[in-house]
Amino acid sequence: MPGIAIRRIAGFVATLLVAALVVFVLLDLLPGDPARFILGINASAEAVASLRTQMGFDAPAWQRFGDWLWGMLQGDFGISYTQGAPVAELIAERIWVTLPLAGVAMVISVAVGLPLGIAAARRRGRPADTALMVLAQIGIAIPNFWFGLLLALVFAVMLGWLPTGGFIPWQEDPVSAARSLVLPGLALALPQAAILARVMRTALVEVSGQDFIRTAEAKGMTRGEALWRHGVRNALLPVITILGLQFAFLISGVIIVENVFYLPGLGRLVLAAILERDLVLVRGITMVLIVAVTATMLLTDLLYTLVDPRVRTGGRP
Amino acid sequence: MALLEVDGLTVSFGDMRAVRDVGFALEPGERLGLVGESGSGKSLSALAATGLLPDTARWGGRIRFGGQPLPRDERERARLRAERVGFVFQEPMTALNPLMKISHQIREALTLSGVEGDIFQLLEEVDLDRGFAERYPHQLSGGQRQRAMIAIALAKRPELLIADEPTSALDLITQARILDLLDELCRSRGMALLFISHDLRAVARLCERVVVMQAGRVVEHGPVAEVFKNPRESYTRRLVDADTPRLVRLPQSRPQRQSLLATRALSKKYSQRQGFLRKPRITVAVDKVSLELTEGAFTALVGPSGCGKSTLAQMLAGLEPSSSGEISFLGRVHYGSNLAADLRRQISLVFQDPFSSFDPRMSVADSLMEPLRLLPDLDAAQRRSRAVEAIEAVGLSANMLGRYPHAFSGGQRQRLAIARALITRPKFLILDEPVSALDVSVRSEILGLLLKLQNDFGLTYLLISHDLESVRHLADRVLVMSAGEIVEAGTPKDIFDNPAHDLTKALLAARLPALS
Repeated sequence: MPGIAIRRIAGFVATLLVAALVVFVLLDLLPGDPARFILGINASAEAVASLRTQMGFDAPAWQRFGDWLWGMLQGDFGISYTQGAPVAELIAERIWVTLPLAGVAMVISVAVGLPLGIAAARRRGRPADTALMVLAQIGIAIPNFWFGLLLALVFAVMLGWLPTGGFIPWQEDPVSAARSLVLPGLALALPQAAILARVMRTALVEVSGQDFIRTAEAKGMTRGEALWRHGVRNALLPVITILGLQFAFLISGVIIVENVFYLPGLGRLVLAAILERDLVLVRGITMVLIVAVTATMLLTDLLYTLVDPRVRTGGRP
Repeated sequence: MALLEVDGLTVSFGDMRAVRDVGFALEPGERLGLVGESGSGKSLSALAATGLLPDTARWGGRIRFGGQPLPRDERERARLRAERVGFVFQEPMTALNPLMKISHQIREALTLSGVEGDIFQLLEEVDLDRGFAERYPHQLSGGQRQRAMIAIALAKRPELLIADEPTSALDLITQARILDLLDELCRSRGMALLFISHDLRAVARLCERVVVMQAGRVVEHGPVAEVFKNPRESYTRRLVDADTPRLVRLPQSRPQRQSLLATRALSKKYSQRQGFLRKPRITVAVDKVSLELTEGAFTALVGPSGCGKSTLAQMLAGLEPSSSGEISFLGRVHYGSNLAADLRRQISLVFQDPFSSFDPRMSVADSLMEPLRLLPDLDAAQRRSRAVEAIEAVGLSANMLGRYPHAFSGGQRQRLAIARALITRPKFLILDEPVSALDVSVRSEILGLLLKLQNDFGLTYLLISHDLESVRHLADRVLVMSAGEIVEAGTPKDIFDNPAHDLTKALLAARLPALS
């Protein structure tokens, strides 16, 4: 087990290095001179050149890459030239909106998706199953920003239970901060929950045909008990894999939903940075998001190892 | 009072009636065999008797357990199973939950039945070491898993043990041990046994009475000795006859000639990583095997599960690279991985399971013609005529070429597999347990076909088999393999009459006595 964990963590670090290289190459070496952009089209060539030197753009590429990596390890992501503030600070302010939002969405999607999937599998072929799966199909088809608008219309505008958007910082009013995350969290979670429900249903239906379920019934369980005690854990294996992949989609969803609900998170920040060509800021946020996604994949990998003894003890899965 | 009484039982799936008007009774402590070919309804009858039918099945009739009707309520039926009936199923590989330790799975049976029991004692009773309690199913061999399964069944101290083909997936030696174990346990615990099997010898070994089923009905029942000695029904007679294959080798039309294939110190090692920076564990599957097959010979390769038979065959067929040593086929050397295309078409394989060895979405013609990619010069008409030739050679007709695999029975599919093997007109056929997945009455048909084909086309065979009876009748040379090595080789007469190696002796001793 420790051996596998070490291998997975080594893989995690290697993935981050490769990702950093790709981000660097894409944003730093591609055409488009940020110095020219900052100073405007009418600036003199000398002014552009001196800004380039000042920002370190004329050093060799490998050196800039190294400096950038080393800086990030020390928490220095560079200075945003549009906001005039350290990128690390900007990210630190916003991440406490984005991470809780993604976390809330993840929790809701699991809490809604898995029970629905199990319920559908238990009623396979019956009207409840069909109804649930049609609902899931709709849930997958509807884009989350539209869901967000709909939720805001019903729960904020019509019922007035929750705010339509905006965010009061946690330190000022934690309750209303949490309340502002409920609707965007739901908007993000429902399409994911629909996918999870489908995967869970399929996996459990598959498992329910396995011999060891019959063994459990032979031991003296009802079909429902056998599925619950032996089926669900086995069916979770494919679900865990999907869960890791879903987090990446969740992050891209966050960028859109934050804009819909006017939340001051990383999504809004990165969108603004892209529009203003603030490459340093884009690069920094991208790396933070990559770390979040890769770390989630690492966690699901380790979780998988924990659930499945065949991976742990080197057997055939 | 009978322990289990089944009367007028029917089981149907939609419009399909799988079991019709089946009745049998089992006294406490009695052992009843339920025999018949696949699809005869024997397993369904046993499952129905304890309320274990799949959701899609409907049943009717009278089932009484201990004088009481089988409860209609699912929870009460589950309690009946928990407290009074133990089960052992055919597939030890899939019948245990892969994510749970053995101890946990046994404890669950104890908890459900409410019986105070000791896990270690149960393991001891099925001859498993204490250490197995903390293992997961994938860390056990097939025979060990079947023992664990029996321990689970015994935990509740059942009055009735239902064993559904408990040894069919096991090798000969393991089968004999499991049958001994079941026999002893029924005796020591006074447990009744409902033993479902297509293997008449195993039934004769364990049971007092037998019920013979065909196409969902009971055709004959009575004491084992009587039914097997003087079967009244023609169907039973067919089953009994199939037990002793009457295969006659045709006289060799051509004298034995030069060597077709030879190996020199052929080995296969697998290394498994134990973890970060630790030394990998080396498993030797095939250990310095040197053998020679002469053209036109029928060689049989026998040995327990996991002894390396199939790995050896894969290397000979050029499907698995060897770790060391070399293979010389038709005078040219290869190492298991670099078999030239013109040699590859001279070797074909026939596998055990005719159900999974065909792509269900490909027509028979397409499946048969697939190996012809080794002969790119053939045009469409020639390919077609090869397919017709091959399917007719195995006794099927050319108008079946357009059908899909699901339209064929097990025996027919194995004929198709043989046709597919013949289509490139090879010299050498590797037959990996070609009949063990088939019903007994079909087996001798297929073996007879193989003999005929060998004679017609001058083929060289390597037969991998657990069925010593057919090996004795068919092969002209027998190789015995144990732990990756060929430990004994000789004519069937030598091997069967004067076995030298301990493993050979053990294999021979594990054979169940013939019915007559």
